[in-house]
Amino acid sequence: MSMLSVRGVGYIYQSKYQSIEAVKNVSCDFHSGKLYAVTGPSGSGKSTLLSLLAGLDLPTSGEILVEGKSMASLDRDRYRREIASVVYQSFNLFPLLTALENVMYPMELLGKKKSEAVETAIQMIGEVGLGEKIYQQFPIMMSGGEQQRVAIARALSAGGKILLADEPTGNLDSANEENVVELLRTLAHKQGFLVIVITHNPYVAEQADEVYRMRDGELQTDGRV
Amino acid sequence: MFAIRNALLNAKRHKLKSILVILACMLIVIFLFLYIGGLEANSRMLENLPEAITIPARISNLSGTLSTGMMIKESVIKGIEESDYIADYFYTAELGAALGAIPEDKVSEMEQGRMNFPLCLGVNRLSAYTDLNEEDVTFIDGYGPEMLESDEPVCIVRDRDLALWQINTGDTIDLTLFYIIYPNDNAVKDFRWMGIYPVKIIGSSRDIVKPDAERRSMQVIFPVKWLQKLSHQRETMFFADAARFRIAKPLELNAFKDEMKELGLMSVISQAKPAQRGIALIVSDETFIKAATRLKENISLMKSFMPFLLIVVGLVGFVVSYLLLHSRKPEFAVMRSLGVSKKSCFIILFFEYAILDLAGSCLGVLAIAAFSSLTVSLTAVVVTLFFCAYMAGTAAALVMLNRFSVMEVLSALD
Repeated sequence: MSMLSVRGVGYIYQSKYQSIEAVKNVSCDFHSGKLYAVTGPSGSGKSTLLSLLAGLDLPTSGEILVEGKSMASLDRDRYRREIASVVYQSFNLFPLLTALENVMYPMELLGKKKSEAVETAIQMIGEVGLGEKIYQQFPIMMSGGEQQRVAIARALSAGGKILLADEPTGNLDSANEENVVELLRTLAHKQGFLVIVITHNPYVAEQADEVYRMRDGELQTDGRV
Repeated sequence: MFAIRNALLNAKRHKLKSILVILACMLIVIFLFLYIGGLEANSRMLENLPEAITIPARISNLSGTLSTGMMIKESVIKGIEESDYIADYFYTAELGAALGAIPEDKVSEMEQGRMNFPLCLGVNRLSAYTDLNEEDVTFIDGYGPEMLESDEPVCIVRDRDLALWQINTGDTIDLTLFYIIYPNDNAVKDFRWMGIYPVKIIGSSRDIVKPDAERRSMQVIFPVKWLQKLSHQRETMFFADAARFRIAKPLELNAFKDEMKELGLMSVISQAKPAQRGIALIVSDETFIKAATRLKENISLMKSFMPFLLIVVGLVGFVVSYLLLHSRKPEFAVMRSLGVSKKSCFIILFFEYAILDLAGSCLGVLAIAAFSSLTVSLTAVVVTLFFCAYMAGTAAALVMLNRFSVMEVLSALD
């Protein structure tokens, strides 16, 4: 059974003056232990699709299944706390929290003891290849690559099985880009995560196990490259 | 627990914004203290006004020209004594007396000029005779001014008259008493035989020589209650010649006036013909009414502004919270993307602002306490009203700010 199944999903942005159909009748499956890339030009609807996969909103048509259960029937806040985590191009770390506190945040939401949260956060920071000196640093003091690694550590810390990344290498130089992609591959292949990456970057797409290409809100042909 | 800890940490992390909120709250609390404290001070002043400004009243004739020498019915005196609206009442009754026993059938032979004591006064207390001070009277051992409040046959005789009639304090003398009426309701007194009674002289009084004296210097002073008792025994009518008192419940002036109307007392009609009947009431309430009206107007105005004031506090809470939280929208979006529910987001931020508001309130209380004394009740009222109004504004701002698309905010950041 696929971890995430997208069945005829559509999404319309409804504003006061216009409505935009960002995603049109998309269907695809995502399995654990694989790295997926969703590519396409700007405005093709890939970020919207990722947001729908993260449960930030519900599709206006079709449905998304999480291990066979409809997303609409799930507590989506809990889904994001316990199953799926999202990493963004702009990292979206809390600027006034240190690296360690940022990584601890999702665990505190789950009600873990502080000592336990600190221990896990230190372990996660180590797993994304960062050292002790980063613990007490605020985001503004870190490089882009470090911030993205901390963001990934934060995403992993809640113990979910799905990692969704929106242009995770968009603000990184090529050395850091390679490191982050390698990290994502390791997470998928060695730790069994389902990793879905939205990207423009051909290098990132090349590293993925499977690639879906989107244009004007639709998956092209059968989408598989 | 997480919400409280996170709220505390957030308040600490956003130092500048926290300080701004605390300052705003402190200033509002100080303003509310001044406003509600003023309202309370006015209410207290109104409560204490009866002690600060007493309202004297007296019975007069209809034209308002007399304060003594009238005929005031006993039913009026009784009504005054029994009224809950009246305190410190004084009344007197004029009479005449002659030394020795003069039988009733010999009275016609007697002229007023031959009466030893044509100027006698019955009083319910020594201070009812306003021209006489307590130090002007010397009592014999075992007697004091309280005897004048009794219905015993005792009297105080003027020094000059003791010497003139060769009598002494401590003596018991026979007196023929004459009550006074004004038969045609004009100023001509008519002395009527009342009876012959043995009376003990319990003290002596100095001669009153005052240019502004209310009465002529009285020769003999009796307890008026004894005179009333004698009238009842003889089944003759008793009349007081003067009555004055203080209003006990000045804030219930209208109820008092209604009761006095029921006793048959009217307002003064200055054009009325001067007469001896004491049937009008003069209440010196202008100063009290002016002060009470001003205070009541102030209180009413301040109370009517209270709801608007609280709405303004709520609006300030809304605007300050909205402006300061608006820039933190991305932070909320990230919180939401990490699985914090809308409700939890609201609670975390509500706690954060509640902590800041309370801190501001405490500083406001301390600032006021440094300059004036505070009561627990006033502090509780101010802080509660402020907290409820301000937090209502904050809650409204949070509800508005919580209505956003996480997707849109996070996409905009990228």
